[in-house]
Amino acid sequence: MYLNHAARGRRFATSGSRPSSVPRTLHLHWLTLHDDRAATQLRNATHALGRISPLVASGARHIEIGIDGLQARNGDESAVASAALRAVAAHVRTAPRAAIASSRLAAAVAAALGDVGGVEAADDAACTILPPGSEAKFLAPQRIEALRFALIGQPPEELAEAIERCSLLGVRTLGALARLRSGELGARLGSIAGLLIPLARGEDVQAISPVPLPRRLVARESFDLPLTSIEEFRFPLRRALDDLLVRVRRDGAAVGLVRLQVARERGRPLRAVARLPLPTADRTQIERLLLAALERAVAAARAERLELDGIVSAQLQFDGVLPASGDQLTLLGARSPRVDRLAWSTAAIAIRYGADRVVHAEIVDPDDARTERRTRLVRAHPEVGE
Amino acid sequence: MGEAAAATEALARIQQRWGVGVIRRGRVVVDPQLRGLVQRSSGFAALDALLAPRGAPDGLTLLRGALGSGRTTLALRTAAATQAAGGAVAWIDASHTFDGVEAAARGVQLSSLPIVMPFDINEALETAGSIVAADAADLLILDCAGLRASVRSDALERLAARARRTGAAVIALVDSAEGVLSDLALECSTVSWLRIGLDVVGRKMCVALRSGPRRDAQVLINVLEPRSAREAIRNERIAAE
Repeated sequence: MYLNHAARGRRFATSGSRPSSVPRTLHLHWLTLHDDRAATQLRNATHALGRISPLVASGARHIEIGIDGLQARNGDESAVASAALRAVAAHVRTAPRAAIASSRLAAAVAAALGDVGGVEAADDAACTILPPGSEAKFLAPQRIEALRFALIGQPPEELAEAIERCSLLGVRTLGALARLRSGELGARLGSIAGLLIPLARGEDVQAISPVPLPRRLVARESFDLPLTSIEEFRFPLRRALDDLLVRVRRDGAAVGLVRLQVARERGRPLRAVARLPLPTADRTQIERLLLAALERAVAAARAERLELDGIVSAQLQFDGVLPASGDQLTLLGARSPRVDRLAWSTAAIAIRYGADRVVHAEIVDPDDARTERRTRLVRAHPEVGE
Repeated sequence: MGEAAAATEALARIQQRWGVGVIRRGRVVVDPQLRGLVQRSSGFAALDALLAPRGAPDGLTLLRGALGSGRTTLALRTAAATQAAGGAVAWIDASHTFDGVEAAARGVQLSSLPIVMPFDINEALETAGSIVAADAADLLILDCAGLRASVRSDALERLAARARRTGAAVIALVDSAEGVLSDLALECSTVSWLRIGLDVVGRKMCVALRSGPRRDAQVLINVLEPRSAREAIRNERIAAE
């Protein structure tokens, strides 16, 4: 049965008319990677590129990054490429070939072959840049075997077989493939034809997926000399928070829920949970709420005194790492910087004394004769009720 | 190792060697002109003229008066005016008598007014201290009116000192606070009632300054009860028709 994949292709580019803004891809290709540690180096390089763009994908000898929108921060496309190459150079000794195009296949072919015959491409020492719209012209004379660089989410054997059958059918170049109608080829190759033809026309059929944020980050620390007060515990906690928050900030993320588990020499472990009023990566605010929660946990376990049963290890865990969302600024109105801090401070009170202690008043029926029925008090921080 | 990590490490070593008390956090002194000071107007022009330039001063303001003297109204108007100026306001309801309808009628935005309901007066002072120490409020109202237990003067003075350091204003509603050193003390009393026809629509209040540079100055202000005034005017119209 023939499956029409054209609809998927149209999400990124249309065959009839190209949208005004098409995703641009930077492709880095290593011709030689002999080092035994190449896989690790590529992984580290991918991680480093994650700081430049969340759209990063890597293979055995290449890395791709989506560079849309980065021009505002880094400058033009060659500046973006330079920044990426600098980031990569710290991890992989061999310099890659780089190319930028509006099609992933065109960028891959340009980077791998280093030949842009017939196309007016900006080709400085660092990177080959195919202007938007020139991908079809660039791909047309390329041999059909260039499709092996295509990343379409299909098994490589299936792709290799399709390329071989195209050759057998007399389709030797990508230009010849682009001129075919999907129905004609689909009858002979099956559903993969619906993917190959848009690729040959310089259209993407699959976007680069964003690198997912780590949902959970954990730090553990043990202490040779047991800590016997929360004040002493503050420094290691701060260190652990800093370590984890560096990773959170690197992804432009924020934390919504923090858990702390403290093991003691004797007695059961203490657990503190701080659900933050707003996702944040601010260490001071998280530390304040977490210590308030820990103090509450210590108070609850009053029989097992912290002074006697010192802390021997601690585990800090960030749950719910989210994309950071800033506060919306009020326009045309004054706003004290303390407005933000007040929510944190009252959250600390709610953790320490109970969620019922901090409330907001809501008007229910202002005309009710009984005062207590006119308004209702609702918890200001229901999130700390856990 | 980065500079921040090295400094943290060094601090940890010093603390381990010499004890936790040897390191204290310093305070950055910032020019008040650069801090974006929030106006804490009382909501009454005549009283604001006495409390110039910023309304309620940094530190502790005591609002004294008998039951029904209008001190809560004055506190609510100050809270509303501070909120309107973009300030952060918190209400500590030690007496558990907060009336949301009354507050809304005085212009308070209830959704942005956190109300802390402490168990007792000590907890009220503790929570007030933590909010002020965290530099988290421009105006903090501590309602201790009608409490059986008296407020400890030394605790109030400590709170006042903290508030002065962080540039916050604490308004404490008290029945009597003899011997408490405050930055400003206002005494409220009702002089007469305002009427439309037979209906009471408000009150004429006298606010006297009992401390501060304009000590013993007095000001008379008219406070309309929004709801009763509206009803009275409506009744008048109905009667006229």
